[in-house]
Parts: sequence; structure tokens; C-alpha cells
Amino acid sequence: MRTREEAIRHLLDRHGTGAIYVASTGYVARAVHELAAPDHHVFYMQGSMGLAPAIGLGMALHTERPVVVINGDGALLMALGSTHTLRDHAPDNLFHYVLDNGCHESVGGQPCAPLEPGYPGVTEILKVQRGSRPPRVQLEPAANSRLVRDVLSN
Amino acid sequence: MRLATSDNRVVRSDGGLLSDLLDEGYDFFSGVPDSGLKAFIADVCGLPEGQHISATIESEAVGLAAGAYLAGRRPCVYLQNAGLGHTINALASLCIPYEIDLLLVIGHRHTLPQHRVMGDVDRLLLELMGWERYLIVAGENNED
Repeated sequence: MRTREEAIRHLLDRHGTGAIYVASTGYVARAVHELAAPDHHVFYMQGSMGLAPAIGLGMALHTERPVVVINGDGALLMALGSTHTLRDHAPDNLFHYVLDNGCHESVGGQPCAPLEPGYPGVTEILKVQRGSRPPRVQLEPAANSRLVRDVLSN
Repeated sequence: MRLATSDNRVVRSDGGLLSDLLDEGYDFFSGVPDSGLKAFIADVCGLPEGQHISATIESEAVGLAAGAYLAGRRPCVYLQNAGLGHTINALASLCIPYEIDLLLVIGHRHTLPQHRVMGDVDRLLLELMGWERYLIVAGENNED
């Protein structure tokens, strides 16, 4: 099984620097922040757990760039209705990956319900190991917003 | 916009509301239906593909609108006040800190027991959070 870091590196390599990434709150955003190059464009969520697919769809409808959502299993379960919204409305430039470590790791590793093998609106579920703790980051949210809006508006 | 009172955040009718909002530059709409917004939602459903997404829950609608905002749009989320509770965390942890601007169009219900508490506090909740961009539609057919 891959580590979270290996899975994220794989996705950053697969979609490159032309894409916009939406990194779900918790360890996903922290790990993406650690691994992304300066020319990767990332919207780092630091709250609003569960909304990464919705944010990604809202972006993808209004840009030609690939939009890559990196979600977690707990966050997917929190907003399962969004799988149907993505199923019905996602354009081809939206990709929705779920890193599945079976738990809410950033708040103590409490188990979450096991996932099904697949969901509508989910491009791929990547099973990842538990155990790594990405460095804590405190980003200025409004600056992150402005950066993403600048990239997507040009 | 059809103003019922001097308070420009409360209107009595949603008739013609969409064309008013389009005139003001709103160009992406998402939400969960409400009987008090029937006319508005019927108009919204006639928009071209990509300008309107019906959401499964109000928090998702805020997420969709936030994504649209980040892509340069001017979004609007519609809901009945019963669904306002679902938006609170999305407003508090996403829209406010990330400075994501969107308009909430809220169908106001107050009469029936299950609507009374939220009917009393919907505006207070928004004012407490400092969320100023909203419109309450308090028509006569809001309890169907």
C-alpha cells in the first residue's frame, strides 16, 4: 500500500502544473502543501470538511483547466450527496480522487466507516497507509483565494 | 428589486427576482428548492447549462458557488431558511476566511412549529456572523 505522500506525488505528476488542485482539509491539505512545487496551483482547504468535490465542480464548470480534487474518505462520507451532483454535472476536466486511510487521522485516527469499492463521481480511490504526520501549516486563506482566482480568471 | 420595506434585505415577492440579479451581474446559481421561491427557481431552471446546478444540500450549494467564485463568477445560493443551518460552517470556515463573496436568497418560513425557531433567528444568525450579502423573501406562500 502507498503512503499518503506517494499517492499525492503520483497525482501531482499525473496532472502536472497546468491543473488547479483542491486539497481537502486536514492532513490531505498539509501533505499537498509539503509536496507541491511552487508552480502547482492549489486551493488549500482549512475548514468546510466535505465540500472539496463541490468546490472543484464549481471551478471546473468555469475553466478549461483540469481541476483535480484530492479528497479524503471521511470527507467523502460527509457529503455523499455530492457524488450524485458530480455524476450528473461534472465536465470532463474534473477529476475527483479519494485518499482512503480508513480513519480521521488529523483529529486522532478515529476510524470512519469503510468505503464501498466505487462511487459515482469519483475518479479513483487510492488506499493509503496511516502513520505519517505532515507538517502543520497556517496559510492565509484570503491570499490563497486571490491566487486561485487570478490563475482561473486568466 | 421589489422592496417591501425600507430594509433592502427583505422582499415580499420573488417575481422578477432572477432578471434583477442577472442585471446586477450574478451569473451562477445553485441551491435547494423552496416553495416560497417557486417563481425564482422556475426562472433559474431555464438558464443555460452550467449557469445553474441543483444541489443535494445547502452546504454543497455554497461549495459549488465558492468554486464558481474562485473561477471568476458572481454566484448566488438559494434556499429556504430551514436549510440555513446547513450553510453555517461553509460560511464560517470557507466563505468568510477565504473572502468568497456570494449572495444568499432565503425563503423565509415562520408560521408552522417546525419553522418557528429558525424563522425567529435566521437573520440574527447571519448578522452575528457578519454575513451581509443576503436577501430574505418573505412572501405569503412560504408555508406550502
